[in-house]
Amino acid sequence: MIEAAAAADLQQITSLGASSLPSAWGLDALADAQARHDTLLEVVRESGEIVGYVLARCCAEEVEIHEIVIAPSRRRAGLGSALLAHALRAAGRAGARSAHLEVRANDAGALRFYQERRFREIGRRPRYYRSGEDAITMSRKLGPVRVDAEVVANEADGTTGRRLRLRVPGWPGAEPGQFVMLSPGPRTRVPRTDPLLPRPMAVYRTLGDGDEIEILYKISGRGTALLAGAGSGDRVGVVGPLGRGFAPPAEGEHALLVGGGTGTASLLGQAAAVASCGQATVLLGARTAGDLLGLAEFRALNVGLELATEDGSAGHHGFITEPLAKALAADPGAVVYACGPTPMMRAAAELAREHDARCVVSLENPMACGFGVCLGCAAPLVGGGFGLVCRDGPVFDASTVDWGNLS
Amino acid sequence: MSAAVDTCVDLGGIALRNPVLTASGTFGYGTEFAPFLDLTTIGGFVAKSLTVEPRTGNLPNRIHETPSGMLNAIGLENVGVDAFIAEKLPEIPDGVPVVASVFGTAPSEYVEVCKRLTGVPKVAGIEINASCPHVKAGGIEFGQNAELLAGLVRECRAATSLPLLVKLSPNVTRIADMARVAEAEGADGLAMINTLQALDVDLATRRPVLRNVLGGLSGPAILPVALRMVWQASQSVAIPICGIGGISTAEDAIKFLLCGATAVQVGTASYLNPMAAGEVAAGIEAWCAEQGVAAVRDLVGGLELP
Ligand SMILES: Cc1cc2nc3c(=O)[nH]c(=O)nc-3n(C[C@H](O)[C@H](O)[C@H](O)COP(=O)(O)OP(=O)(O)OC[C@H]3O[C@@H](n4cnc5c(N)ncnc54)[C@H](O)[C@@H]3O)c2cc1C
Ligand SMILES: Cc1cc2nc3c(=O)[nH]c(=O)nc-3n(C[C@H](O)[C@H](O)[C@H](O)COP(=O)(O)O)c2cc1C
Ligand code: FES
Repeated sequence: MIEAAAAADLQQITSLGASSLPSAWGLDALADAQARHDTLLEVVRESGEIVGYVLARCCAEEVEIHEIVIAPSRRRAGLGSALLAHALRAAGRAGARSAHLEVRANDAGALRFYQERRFREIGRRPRYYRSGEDAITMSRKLGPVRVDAEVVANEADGTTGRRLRLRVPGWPGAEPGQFVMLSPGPRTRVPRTDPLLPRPMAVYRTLGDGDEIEILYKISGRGTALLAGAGSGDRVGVVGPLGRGFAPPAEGEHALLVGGGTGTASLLGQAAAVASCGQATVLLGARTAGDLLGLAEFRALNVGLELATEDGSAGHHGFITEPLAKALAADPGAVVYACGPTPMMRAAAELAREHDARCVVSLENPMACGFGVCLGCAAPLVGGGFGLVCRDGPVFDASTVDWGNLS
Repeated sequence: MSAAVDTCVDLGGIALRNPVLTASGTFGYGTEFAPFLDLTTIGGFVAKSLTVEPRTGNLPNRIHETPSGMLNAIGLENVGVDAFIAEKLPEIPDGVPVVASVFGTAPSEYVEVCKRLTGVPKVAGIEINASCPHVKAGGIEFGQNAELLAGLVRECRAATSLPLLVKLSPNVTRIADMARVAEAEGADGLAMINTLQALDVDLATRRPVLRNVLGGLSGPAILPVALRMVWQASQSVAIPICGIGGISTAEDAIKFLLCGATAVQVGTASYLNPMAAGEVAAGIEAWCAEQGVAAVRDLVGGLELP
């Protein structure tokens, strides 16, 4: 539970800061800052004890992250991620469009932490710290954008899948598992009314200088057929990145990533993230060999790859959940990530439950807006209530989803 | 800008800097649009309809795309009036008129929500969503029965001093009758139309596309129906009308003004383009400048009949 710090917390925060950062703010500076409206000082409390905090200040359209500190005994539990995400969300609501911070040049762990969270190095301040160490300044953009993107390329890739490469001005970068809403066709004075709604599509990967995204998709109806007709130089409306993607994998994690059909497109980023700090096996299933999407990119990663087709034309003859069952039996501590048709995700969740393994799914419900206002994408959750797939997901812990009522 | 266009309008006592609001249920609680739209560029917004207690909605599927439109059956899902006041309103920038949409399953519930909203800073007015089934009257919509509607408006009128808009259901035989009822019971203005009751079928399963069977149709497909109803209502009442239904461009909005609407609401169009309402507002101003119209309110009711 993350909450605003109270005046009575300042003493504890200062000592936690002093024990972790050589240059942490002192009590007086903290008290002054906390009295100001533009300061964000939020803590994580566990059984009454403050085990982490974030200190940030919003200034016009920027937020400066001053300190994120986690008690040594509670590190590597995702608290830092949660505090950073919390601060960035709050700043976004307060109108910030970008976030900035400084990191010690020698602190490889912190540099990696922020790089993984889409911060990029923008400069260096020589001998910035009292110790004489340099500071690296980093920044990232916040929040989704709504722009007309330019089609760089849009073609079939030898499978039944197609690659749509878009140049998106001001693209803030996406976390693995986030998506965009795409409206094909130029935004003219009189917008197209049919088909009306934008189509949700995962951000398959980021290319170019970080301002190009690739979408991996299949023609499955009127909207995707229209999308396929967009040629290079044409415009496609983009709203994104949207949703909450996959949490960064834990150090040394073993993961089984299960993709079915176009669901495969949601998994590439997370497969790469797991491969960089643990062990990943990617299991891809489809009806027939020509429907297996994205093989080239998954093969280029340092991951194990297993395939299954319903007609036996590639890999295992049958459903991908059969190789998944074997893999889980061999590595019961693995985390399962799944995205694909609902029956596949449901089966994966069931298998994971039988093996006491954690399972994370990326749901694909129909959407109208993609940013939490129409309430059309609601997924029923265990114990009643709903999660919005576009805002609370698309990534959910499979054990929280009420599969029987999903569709 | 030599001859600046006067875009201000008065919607039943709600002063708007321009005539473009956003429709209930299509704009969340306003906060969701912060990354896309400067709320001070639109006239104001109507929040998702609020009930006394928070409510969850229907099981999926809740939405379905149709030709130039969509069906929805969300099912009254909202955070409840208290959470709206405590958590959502503080995040709305000052100077943005917020119209709170209210509903319930009995008049007493509407009254309670109206009371809790009255006197709350930033709440500039109340919109009564009369397209809600009255549970005790067998689930018939308040807005579909003149007596139920009269009773509801009377009680809400007595419960609040805020400007009171009544959002009419289009699912009636004679819209003008309903408009007159609302006016007679003290409404300061009308908002219309809500979604048209509709049904679509999935041939593969031979089932309705929505779990709720029936849904409400919105989007460009309903624009001509909405225009007709606004025009008919405007012929029958003196209170101002806020026109709603399929608006996605300034041209669409201007048609509503000509048919007698004082202001408009952009609904489904915000899903496809979260900046739509801002673009409609800017477009109306540009159109007026181009056409030599000095004040937007001069357009209201300017339909030239043959
Ligand atoms: C978070 C998310 C990420 C996705 N990522 C990808 C991706 O990377 N690549 C890809 O090919 N597809 C992806 N999809 C599925 C994609 O959105 C649908 O295939 C697409 O909307 C179908 O549109 P259509 O015009 O071809 O079909 P139509 O049948 O004409 O669509 C009619 C309506 O149903 C909706 N719809 C139909 N199928 C789906 C579906 N499977 N999921 C959600 N809505 C659907 C459409 O959006 C539209 O509103 C994703 C879906 C979600 C929710
Ligand atoms: C998904 C959805 C949810 C809606 N929820 C509400 C609501 O809570 N209260 C209300 O008065 N109208 C609601 N409406 C109706 C709209 O406010 C509007 O009257 C209708 O959609 C017609 O306008 P449009 O064609 O511009 O969307 C909803 C519409 C949609 C599409
Ligand atoms: S798609 Fe509109 S709320 Fe999720």
